Amino acid sequence: MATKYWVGDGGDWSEHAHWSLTSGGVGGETDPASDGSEDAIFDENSFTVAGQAVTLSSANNICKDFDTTAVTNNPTFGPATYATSWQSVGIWGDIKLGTCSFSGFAFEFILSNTDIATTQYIDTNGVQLKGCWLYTGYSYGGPVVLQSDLDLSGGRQENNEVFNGHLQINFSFDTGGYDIKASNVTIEDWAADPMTVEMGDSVVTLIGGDYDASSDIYWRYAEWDYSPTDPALITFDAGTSTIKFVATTGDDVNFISSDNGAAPAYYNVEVNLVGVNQTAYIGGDATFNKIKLTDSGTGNVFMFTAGETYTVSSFEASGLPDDEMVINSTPTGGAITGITVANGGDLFHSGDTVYVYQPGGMATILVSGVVGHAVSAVTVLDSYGCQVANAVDWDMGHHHHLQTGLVLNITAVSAITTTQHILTKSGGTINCYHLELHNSKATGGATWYARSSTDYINNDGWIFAEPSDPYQLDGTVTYSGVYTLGRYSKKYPMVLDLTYPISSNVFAGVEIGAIMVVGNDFYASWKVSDGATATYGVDKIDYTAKYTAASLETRLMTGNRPVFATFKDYILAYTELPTGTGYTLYYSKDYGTTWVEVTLTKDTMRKILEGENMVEATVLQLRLNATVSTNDGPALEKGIVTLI
Amino acid sequence: MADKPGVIEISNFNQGGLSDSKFSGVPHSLYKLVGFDLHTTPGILKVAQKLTKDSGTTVDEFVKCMVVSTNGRTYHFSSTSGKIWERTSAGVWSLVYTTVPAAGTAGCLGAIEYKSYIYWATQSRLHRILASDGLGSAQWTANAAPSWKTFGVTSTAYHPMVVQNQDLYIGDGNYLAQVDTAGTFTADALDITAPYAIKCLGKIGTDVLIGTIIDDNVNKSQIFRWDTYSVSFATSDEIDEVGINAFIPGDNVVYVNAGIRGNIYVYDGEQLQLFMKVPGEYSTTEYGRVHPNAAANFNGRILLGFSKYYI
Repeated sequence: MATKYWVGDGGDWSEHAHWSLTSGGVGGETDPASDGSEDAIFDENSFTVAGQAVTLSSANNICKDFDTTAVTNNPTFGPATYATSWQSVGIWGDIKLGTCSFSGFAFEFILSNTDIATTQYIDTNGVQLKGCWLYTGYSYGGPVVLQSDLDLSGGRQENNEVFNGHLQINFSFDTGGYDIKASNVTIEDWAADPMTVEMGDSVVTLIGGDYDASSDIYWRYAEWDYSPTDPALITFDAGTSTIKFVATTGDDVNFISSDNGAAPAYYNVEVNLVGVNQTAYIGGDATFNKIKLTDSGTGNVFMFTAGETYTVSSFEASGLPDDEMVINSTPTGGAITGITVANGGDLFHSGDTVYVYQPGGMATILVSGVVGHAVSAVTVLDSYGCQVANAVDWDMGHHHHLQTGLVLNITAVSAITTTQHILTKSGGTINCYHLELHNSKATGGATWYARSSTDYINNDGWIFAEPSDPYQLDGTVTYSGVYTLGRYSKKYPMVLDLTYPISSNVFAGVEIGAIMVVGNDFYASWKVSDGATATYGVDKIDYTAKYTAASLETRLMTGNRPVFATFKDYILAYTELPTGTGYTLYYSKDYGTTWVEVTLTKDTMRKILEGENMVEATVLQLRLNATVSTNDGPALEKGIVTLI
Repeated sequence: MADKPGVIEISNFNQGGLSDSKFSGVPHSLYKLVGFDLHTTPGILKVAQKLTKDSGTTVDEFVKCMVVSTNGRTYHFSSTSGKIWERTSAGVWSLVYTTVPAAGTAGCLGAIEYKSYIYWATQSRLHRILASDGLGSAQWTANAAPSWKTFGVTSTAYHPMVVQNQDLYIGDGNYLAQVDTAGTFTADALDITAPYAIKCLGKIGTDVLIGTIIDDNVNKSQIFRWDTYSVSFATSDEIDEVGINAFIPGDNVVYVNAGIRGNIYVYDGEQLQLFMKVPGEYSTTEYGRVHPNAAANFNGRILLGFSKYYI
């Protein structure tokens, strides 16, 4: 058993001239043994100049440790250009990386060890394994442990489309608390042995790749796929991890909580859509600490699986005042028949829509909100019952050229969704804003508010509260929380305000047990009770995030209470308005309960937001809500209302 | 009202704060004001930092006493059981100890660090541990001195604590207990007239202030001022409130929350005078107050933890 050292600059793994028994020694040795007993070392004597590359064009590249920790001149591993066949290396030991690169094209690491009791370690040392497909085990394998962050993003496909790599977890895997970045992660049990997946406090960021028009493929939409053959074999420990989907451009998101049997308990799942017409499919029948949805794009949809239950401790979802976040259930049941194709049309899907593209430029939308890259319920038959397209075809994104006069019947699909998904939380309050809700049931004992939202169709359990007041309670309460009684300096009066609501943003049934100051931090202990059940905690001031529901309300009158006045212009003079922050302004006439939003236009030169609403009233009530972006918030100098 | 013909300005937020009601308040005050920072930059209304839950799922009972220890950790005491949670400087929470007193209930009714010892009180007993020997559960188990001393009255509700003139004072019903610098415990360093019971303790100058309550249905309470060496208190002032709930640490000013309707009094050394009120609507079934340890001074401003109760 020997160690093989790479020598002589760039070349192919299979070339004996590049392997030596000593560092910097004479080449001519065989490449590391196929029984995985020999380390492959790339060190300071391997490459004499920069710009060198190592390819692995044979099908049988194997080593024990893959070690580049001491390498110099930053060599590149993998094919130089797009390759239809993947270059791979089987690792029987550990991956230990130093300053090297991966070309980003078609490269695989396969951690595989017949000694399944031996743990294999991956220490990337910050090296990005661009577009790499990494298997933890293949036909066999032992536990794999990360010793540093794993970044598989940044790869490329044929026409320079982005491919962000794939992590295939087939045997026991421990993230070690390190973060992972990839297009998708799949968890399967390829062996018949029990396996454990431990997530620790890792953040797993899943980033979809680009759309390849030539092959009609989305290169690995952002996906988490938990697909055990035998669910009993996998112990999944979510720890305090976060699975974060970041869907860029036009790709979709797919969270498969479990493809077979009961889903494991997850901790945090976050989905962030930023593009246009994207769909996030979110599987359920699982428990979550938190589900968080954000949408800064246009035309996007968050699809929860119809009939499935999502048990959460926290649920955050808010759109924008002028662009509500759409939450729906996946479609179920039904069929659409009798669609005739004229003059040889073309059947294809794009995103979640199935089209028949008729020659002459007319596209008929057969069904929308139906097909995703991983939906298996769609089959297209012609009128003779012959299959035109099926789930596999949709997955590959193929077009289907159709015969003239063909009549299409789409089975197992309905354009109308009638089955609700179920969001459940025991106790407390959920506040969501600017949603367009479809087929959603909120339950479990918590109070679910959809504020400034649209009750589109078939929703239960949600309270579509009056817009603008996230703190609307039963009308007779005093707000509980941590007040400030203070002033800037002695020349100002002491004033009182409710500066710090507790972390759960609840104002009723709250007791603050104690407040403790520690340096520049303070802690507040609390109890929240509805009289039947109670929750407890200790909050800390968070210097990394602003309060997300800051609000004020005031009353305006002209001095002669019974006399009508006409209020006209509304101006908010700001000093700071960072990206993603802003204000929403509402008014109510004469102590009414209906609030009307004032449309504000931004004037960056004068640093104001202004709107015009002519209102005749004896008294005008104003409500102002502030929108923050993580730790950025707007700053208001004054508000001005003009009268005529 | 309009500031000038045709224009109404809403500004100078730091000079108004919350109004007394929707219909009345000082100039620049606002009816509702939640989650804003009024004072950091005078004249500018910014959004405040949020509170984030730090204790995770570890703390599962109501904490009404917290101690910052010289050992670099903080301690959080359950008010309903003997559980004590420790938070390290790295932010790790753990159940570090469970008090099993020799008698009485186990919920913590007062806690403080004094002369390098962490003291905490349950109904009947005073417990302590040397702070430097209290790092983690193993040390607590080995080094805590549960039931170190026995109270005279054994109040079931309150054992507030304050350090004044180098001694530790602990409320116990109508007794004020003491631990001196030599570690000597005296169960009745001062006694006040029953049925008044000590609910909270404060300081003014070199004197101890004693806030009292009779019970939740009696609208009489007194504040006592004691110089710590005389046989009896120097002054007292009676107010028609259901208890003096908490002393609020101002800058050379003593505020007090009393009663169940959000009243805040200022103490001039002899008498309490109504200063302001936490605005809101109160009723016979909905009331609010500040727990004895739910007030602090943070960077020159008073933090008030205001609790709402249902009956």
